[in-house]
Amino acid sequence: MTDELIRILDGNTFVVSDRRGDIAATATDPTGFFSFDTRFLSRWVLTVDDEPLTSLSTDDLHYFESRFFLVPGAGTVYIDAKLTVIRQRVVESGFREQLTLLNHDDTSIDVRVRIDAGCDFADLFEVKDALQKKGTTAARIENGCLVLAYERDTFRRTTTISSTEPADLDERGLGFAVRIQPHGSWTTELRVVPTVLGPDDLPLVPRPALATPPLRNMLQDLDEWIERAPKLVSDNDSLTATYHRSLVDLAALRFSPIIAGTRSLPAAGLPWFMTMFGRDSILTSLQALPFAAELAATTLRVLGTWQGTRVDDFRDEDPGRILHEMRYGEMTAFEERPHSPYFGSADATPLFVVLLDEYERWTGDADLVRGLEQEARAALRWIDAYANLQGNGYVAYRRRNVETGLENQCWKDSWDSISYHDGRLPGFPRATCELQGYAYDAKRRGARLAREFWNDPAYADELEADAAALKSRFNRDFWVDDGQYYALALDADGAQVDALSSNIGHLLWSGIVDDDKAPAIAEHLLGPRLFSGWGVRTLADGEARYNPIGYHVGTVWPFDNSFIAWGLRRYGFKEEAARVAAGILEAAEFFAGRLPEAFGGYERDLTRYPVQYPTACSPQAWSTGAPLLLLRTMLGLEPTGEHLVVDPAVPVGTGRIELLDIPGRWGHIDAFGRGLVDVGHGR
Amino acid sequence: MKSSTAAFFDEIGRRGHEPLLERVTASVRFDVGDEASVEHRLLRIDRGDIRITSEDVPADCTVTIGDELLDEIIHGRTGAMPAFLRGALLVEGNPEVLVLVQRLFPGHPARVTGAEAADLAGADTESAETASTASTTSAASTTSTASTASTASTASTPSDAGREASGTGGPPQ
Repeated sequence: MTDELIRILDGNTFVVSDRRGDIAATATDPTGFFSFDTRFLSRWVLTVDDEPLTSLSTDDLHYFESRFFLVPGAGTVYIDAKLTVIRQRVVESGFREQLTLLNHDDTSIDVRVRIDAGCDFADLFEVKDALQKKGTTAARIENGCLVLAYERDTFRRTTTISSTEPADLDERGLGFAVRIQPHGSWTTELRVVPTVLGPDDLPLVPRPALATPPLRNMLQDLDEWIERAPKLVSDNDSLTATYHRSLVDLAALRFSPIIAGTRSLPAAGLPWFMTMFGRDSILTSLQALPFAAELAATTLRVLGTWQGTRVDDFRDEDPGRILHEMRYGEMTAFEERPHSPYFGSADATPLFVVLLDEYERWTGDADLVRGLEQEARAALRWIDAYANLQGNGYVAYRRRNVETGLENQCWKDSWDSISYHDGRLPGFPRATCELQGYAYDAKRRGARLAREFWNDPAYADELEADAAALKSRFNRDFWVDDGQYYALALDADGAQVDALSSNIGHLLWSGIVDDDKAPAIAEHLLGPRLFSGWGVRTLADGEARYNPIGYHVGTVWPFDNSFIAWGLRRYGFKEEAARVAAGILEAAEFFAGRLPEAFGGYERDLTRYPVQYPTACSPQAWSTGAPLLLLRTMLGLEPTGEHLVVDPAVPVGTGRIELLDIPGRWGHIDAFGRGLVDVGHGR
Repeated sequence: MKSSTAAFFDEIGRRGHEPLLERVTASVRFDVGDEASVEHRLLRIDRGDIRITSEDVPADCTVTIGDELLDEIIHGRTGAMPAFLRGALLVEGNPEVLVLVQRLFPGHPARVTGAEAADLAGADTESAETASTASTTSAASTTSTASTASTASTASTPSDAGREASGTGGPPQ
């Protein structure tokens, strides 16, 4: 059960073990020690006198560190605790494990301690899809270390295991013959170092600059990260805990891609998605702008560097397109998967421009906006030149890599997420509605950048005219007159895919909704078909495919709701935005402040608590970012010129909140809000 | 160094300026060949202005690579990133420079179907549906649209295009 797994991580290096600290992975089991999308340990089992151990307790000390208290024996009722075993594990480039045995007896004891170690060097894709390896594995003893190695042509990966106490090494692990004095202890530190090898056995990834200490002080780094973020002062303990959890999880999900040096951006989520995703990294950076704007800077720079420049069907690449996903594993290396990078996302490209503009509005960092002018222009060009697959001026998607490309290239990427009211699935290309909103917003924001930073008022005028025309067309072609909402999509024939969905909330965020249509949209979002009491469902009750525990067809996604709340504020629906914020933040309380990717769309009055969707992905970046964006929307934080406007609309149950030292182009500003908005539910 | 590789570098040198590299000021040196014989190509990029020499002097990024593989990468038959990940080439210094320089390389003609035609036809979807690979490629070499793909495609020689379109040497799709 994934719930019982212990995960610690640092960037794209992480360990997933059972509660004893052991790893005994099967081919399809996502446990192990992973780095660069490759499993570097699939077996790591501790025994004492050939007996497995029993877990007494596990401490999650930090996101990068955990401690396991164990006793010998396989979990019989009576545990004779003459011996305690403590494993303290830290992820840090590789991982280190301090192994300590305490003898509680009056006599000395002799025990055999053994760590079984092994590795299948599976690519994460192979774990996901249960595929066979094509190369060969080997184990050897070298310079007092156990080296596990994998080789396929020039592709080479090794895991090097060593200990501070001398060990009896064999190809399947390390053994120690240990004598412990009465009431004494014995300890050793085990080190596991993953290496990605290039030609001449040189490490493939260049070592960090010499100025960087080889082992970061991770605790100090985390303290500094939290110290730099605004302080939240609130009587609401749940909100305070959720905020702290979000900051820590965001720190945990920071990831430095190979080309970013020591700078980091948000990876999408543990365990499958510890890598750069265009959409997830951009949306999380947007959520985090008032709290950690540097994530946006790195996201923009790295995504800009990797921007598509050619037409390549295998990678679904076009000039100007922003990547969907980057991977470093074996299947990517041999081009058996297109993730080097893969570009099959229809929203990342307009959202790239949206983030660039929003980032400048917060930080005043004009240099980055000027530096990325070519990339932003190419992204804007992509919208018209490459995404117009239906020939009607709308952004649409259809994969060209039909083997391993993605079918749905919007955020709702599961197979049945886009359906008509009657449940039929439309053909391709599909133009989902929120993509048009993003394109509209990108053009509007691009116009501001062109006018203010690129010295190109003619281009700005052109973009604004395009945006106005798009908005006008959109409000005609997507509007479902009978239902008074926007269609989920246009199908391959340009006809409406007429389901009612949460996507209409994103349209408010983008500003593409005609003012006279906005009240009907707000009413739907907070109405009984979409609003569960906890949040807005992905698909409305009453649609043929509605299922309260269907991945994109009825569950509530915290990230989705945070952007919907932002959209409601944009159109002046303060109370409605506060209701959404209150629901999601109250749900967070049931998850100890860590919002899952999604939870069930059941009526709140029915279940009384949010039912978690069974998913292995936690923490997930944009769920982590949701409380941050909700804080922004509750306080009504909006950069205007050189100032930050604060216009609070805080739910009654949330009480008074103060967000202190909000960084931005204004220096640091404090924001205050009192809980005055009655949202019905809550305390 | 293969003659098509040398021709590619010559063409880049003649281009002089590349708008896609306007935010780049850096140097990258390709050490091409094997132990028996190594040729160098040093690209000095100054805000998009490119100068190419065959000097063997330090650069921000150095790529050590066999001549066959470099030719494959330049002509889009394999990617520099996957080649890097499988240890087929060595990057020293700042790898971001290599990623940016890849913008100079044309795409894989055999992988180009609808979308480039859509670009050339001003996003006309009908031609995107029907364009054949070979005709798209040759059209790209001769049309001067604003598209970056077509700019880059001018680097591949007609003989290259024919060979690639026949499907040899391409990675699995």
